Amino acid sequence: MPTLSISFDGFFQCRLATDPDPSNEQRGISGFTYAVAGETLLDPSIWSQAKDIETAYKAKADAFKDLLRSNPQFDIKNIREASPDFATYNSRGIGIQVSKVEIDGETPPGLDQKMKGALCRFANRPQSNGPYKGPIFEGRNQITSDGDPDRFTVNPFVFTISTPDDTKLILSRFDPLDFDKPDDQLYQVFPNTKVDRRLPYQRFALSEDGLVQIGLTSDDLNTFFENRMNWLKGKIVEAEATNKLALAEAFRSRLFGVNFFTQATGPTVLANRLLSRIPLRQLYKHSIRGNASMNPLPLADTEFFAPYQIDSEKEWEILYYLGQYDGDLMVGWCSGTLDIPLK
Amino acid sequence: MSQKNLQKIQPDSELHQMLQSSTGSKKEEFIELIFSLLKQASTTEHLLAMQYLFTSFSLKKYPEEFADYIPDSTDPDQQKINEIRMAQIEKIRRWEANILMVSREEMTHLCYDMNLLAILGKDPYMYRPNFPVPAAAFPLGKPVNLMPFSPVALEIFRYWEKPDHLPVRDPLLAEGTPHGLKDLFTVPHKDPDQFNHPETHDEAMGFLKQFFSNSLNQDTLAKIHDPLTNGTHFDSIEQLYTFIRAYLLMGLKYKIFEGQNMERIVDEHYGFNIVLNPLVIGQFENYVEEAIEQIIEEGEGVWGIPPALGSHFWVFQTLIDSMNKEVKEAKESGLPFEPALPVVWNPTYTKQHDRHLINSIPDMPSNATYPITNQVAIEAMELFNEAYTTMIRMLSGFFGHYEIDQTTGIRPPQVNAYFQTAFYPFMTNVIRPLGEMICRLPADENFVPDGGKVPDRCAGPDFLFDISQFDSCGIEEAIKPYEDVNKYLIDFESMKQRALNLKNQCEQRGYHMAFYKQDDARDFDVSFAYLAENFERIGKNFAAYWNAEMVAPISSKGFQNYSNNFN
Repeated sequence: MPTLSISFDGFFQCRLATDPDPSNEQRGISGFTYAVAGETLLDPSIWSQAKDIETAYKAKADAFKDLLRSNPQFDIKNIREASPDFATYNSRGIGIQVSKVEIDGETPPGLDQKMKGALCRFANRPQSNGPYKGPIFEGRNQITSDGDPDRFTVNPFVFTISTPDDTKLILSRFDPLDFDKPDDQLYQVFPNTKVDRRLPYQRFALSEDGLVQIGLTSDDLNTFFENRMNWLKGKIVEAEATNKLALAEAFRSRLFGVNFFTQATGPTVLANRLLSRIPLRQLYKHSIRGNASMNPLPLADTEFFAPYQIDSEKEWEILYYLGQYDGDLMVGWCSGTLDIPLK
Repeated sequence: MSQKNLQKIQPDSELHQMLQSSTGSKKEEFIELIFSLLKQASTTEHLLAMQYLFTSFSLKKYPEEFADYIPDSTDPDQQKINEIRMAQIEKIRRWEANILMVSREEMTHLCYDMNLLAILGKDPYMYRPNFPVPAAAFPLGKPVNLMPFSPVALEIFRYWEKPDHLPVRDPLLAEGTPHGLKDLFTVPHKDPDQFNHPETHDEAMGFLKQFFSNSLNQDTLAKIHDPLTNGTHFDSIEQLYTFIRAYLLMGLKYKIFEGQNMERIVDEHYGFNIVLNPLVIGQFENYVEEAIEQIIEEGEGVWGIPPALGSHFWVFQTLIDSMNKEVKEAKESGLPFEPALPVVWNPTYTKQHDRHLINSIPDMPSNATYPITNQVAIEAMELFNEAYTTMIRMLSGFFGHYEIDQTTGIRPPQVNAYFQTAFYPFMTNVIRPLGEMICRLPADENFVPDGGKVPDRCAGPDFLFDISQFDSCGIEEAIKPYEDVNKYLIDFESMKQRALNLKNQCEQRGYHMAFYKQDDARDFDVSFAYLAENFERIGKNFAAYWNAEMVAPISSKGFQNYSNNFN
C-alpha cells in the first residue's frame, strides 16, 4: 500500500500565559509572556497562519505601527518583530507550509508542484474546546498536564491543508482524545493515560537540528536575547522620538520580560527560562483517527489528488516537532510529516 | 558583613556550663523557646507574603479600569488620553510583577522556616492571625493591614524591608491611610540605627543565660511564647533571626536536640528559588546558617550592610521612585493617576468579634476592618477562604510528611498529592485569579452595575481563618492536614459548587469586569466557570495521586535532558 508523505514547516504563534501566571491570565504579569499595549489579550490559541490572525484581529492601530518594520506581516495586530539577527523569522513570518511531497520516497512531480507552499493548519473544533478561537496548549498550571509543565498536547487536534492560495481545503482530519467521547474537553478526559498518545514522544533540550531550521546554531544562544534587548532599547528610543508613548512602554515591557527571565541568577523563578525554550523541541507522533461518526468528517479532495486516491478509512500518521519557542515573540517552530495511505 | 564574619557560636564559660549541664526538662523548655521564635518568624513571613499578594491583586490591569479610557475613540484628544492610560497600564504591570516576585520570595522564606522546624523536630506551622495585625505583635514596627496599592502601602513595605540603619520617613506621612486606621500605628517610628550583629548576638547569649538560670521574668517569656497577645520581644527581623540562628546552632552544638528529619528538608521547584542543598545529614549547622542568611539577604541585606540590587528593599524603593515620577507627570498633564482599583482596606464579611485580634485590644480603632455587604463578593470571599484554608492544610501535610527518593525523584503518594496540588495549581490557578476577581467585585450590596464600570468601592480577599484568634485548639485544628482524603474531596466539590453559583450570580446581576468587551475577554462568568472546571479536575487528580493511581513526575521516556540552563 503506497503512502503519501507530506512534509511541512514554519513558525506558529501561541500567545499563552506562562507559569507562574494563572493559565487564564490575560495580560501576563509573573510569567514570561505578556500582551502589551496595542495587542489583544493573551489567549492560548495556536495560530498557524498570519492571515488568520489578521482576519481575527485586523491590523495594528496607527499608534502601534512601526514604519521601519522589516516585513509587512508586522503590521498585523499581535505579530511582533524580532531583532535583525533572527533573520529567518523576520523574513518568513508566521505560516506553516508544505515543503515537500513524496510517495514511498519518490517525488510525484505534478502533486509536489501543486502542493508546495500549501497552507497547513492546526485547526479548531469548538465543540471540544473552551472559548478559544483556535486549538490550544492547555496545562492549566499542571491540572491537565501530568506534572511536567512542558508536556502539553495540541487540543483539539484537527490538521488541515489548503491550496497555496488558500482558496480550497484539500485535506482535513480530526483526532479525538477520547474516541468514545470526542466532544469532551481536555480537562474532562480522565485518567491521563488517554492523553498519553498525544503527548510528546521525545524531548530534546538542546536540538541542533531545530536551531538550524530557524537559522541559528548553539553558538548564537549566548547573544540571542542580548541582541533582542539591545534592539528593544533602540525601539524604545525610536518610539519616544516619534511621541508614541504607549508603543514605547510596550517595547519597555518586552524588554523587562526578556531581562527578567534571562537572568541566570537573581530574582527569577528559574534560571534562563526564556533562553531554555529556544533550543528545546519536542517530538509528537500519533495517528489521526477521526471517522465519519464525528465532525469534522475526514476530507480529502478527490479532484485535487487525482490520480491518487486517499484512504480516509485507515488512520493517518503524523509526526511533528514543536519547539524553538521564543517567549518574547510568542512564536515557535513546527516541522513534520503527515503520512497518508493511498488506495 | 558576610556570613563568614557572623559571630561564632562560642558561649562564655558560664553559658557553656549551663548548656552542658542542662537537664531533660530544661532542654525541652529550650526547644520550646526556639519553637516559639520560629513560629514568630514563620508567621511574619506568612503575613508579609499574603499582604504583598493582596496589594498586587488590587492593581489595575486593563486600561478600561481608568474611567476616562474610551476604546476605539476617533477623537484625537481622547486617543491621546487612551494612549497615556495604555502606557500607564504597562508600567503598572511591571510594578505588579515585582511585588509578586517579592511575595514568592517571602513564601520561600516560609519554606525555609518549615525546614528549620523539621530540624528542630517540630511540625510545620502554617498559622498567622487574621488581618489587621497590631504593630506590637510582630518585629515589624508597623501594623500589618490588607492594603491596596498606594503610597502609604509602598512606604510601609520599604520600611519593613529596609536595613535598620537606613533612614526612611514615617510611612504615616504618605498619602492614603484611611481615617481612623492611623490609630493602629502604636509603635513609634524608629530612628535609623545601625544593626549591630555582635551586640545583638551578645544580647541573645545574655538572654539565654537568664533563661537557663530561670531569671527571665514572666512578661518576657510571655512575649516570646505569645507575641500576639503580649506584644513581641523583638523590634527587628534581623534581631529575631539573630536569636534563632544562635539558639539553633547552640542547640545542635550541645546536642540539646539532634538534627532531625533529614528527609523532611524540602528542596523542590514549585515556583520558588530554593537553592540550598537538602542533603543535610551531618551538615545541619551549615543548613541553618545558609537558610537564615538567604532570608536576610533577600530582605534587608546581609546583617546591616546596604542591600543588594534586587533585594526587597530596592524593589520597593524603585517602585516608590517610579510611582512618584508617574504622579508628577500626571499632575503636569492634568490627568489624575490612580494605579489601584478602589479596593477597601482590611475587607471582611465576618460579624464575629473574636475573628480579629484588634477587637480585644484596648484603644484600637473600631473601623479598622471594612464590612463587605455585597452578597456576590461575600460568596467569592468565602470561596477564597475555603480554598486558602484547604491549601494551608495541604501545605502542612506536605511539609509535615515530606520525603523524596533523591535518586528517582519519586515521592510517596500522599506527599505527591499535596505537591501536585498545593503549589501549582492551587496558588497560581485558584488563589491568584480568585483574589484578582474579588478585587473587581463591589464591596457594597447597593452597587448598581453599569456595564463594566468599576465599582466605587471594591471588595478584596480577607485570607480569613474563621476561628477565634484566642482558641489555641481551634488554631491547631485549622492548620492540620486531613488524614482522610475524602475530606479534601468534599472541600473541592464544595468549592466547585460555589464557583458555579458565583458564575450564575454574576450573570443574574449583570456584573462584568471592566475589560469585558475586549476581544477574547474572559469575564466573571467564564472565569468562575473555568474555576469550577479546575476544582472538578483537581479533585480527580488529588484522589488519583493520593491512591497512587497517578504518578508525577513521570519517569523520562528517553527524553534528552541536561542538568544545566538549557534543561
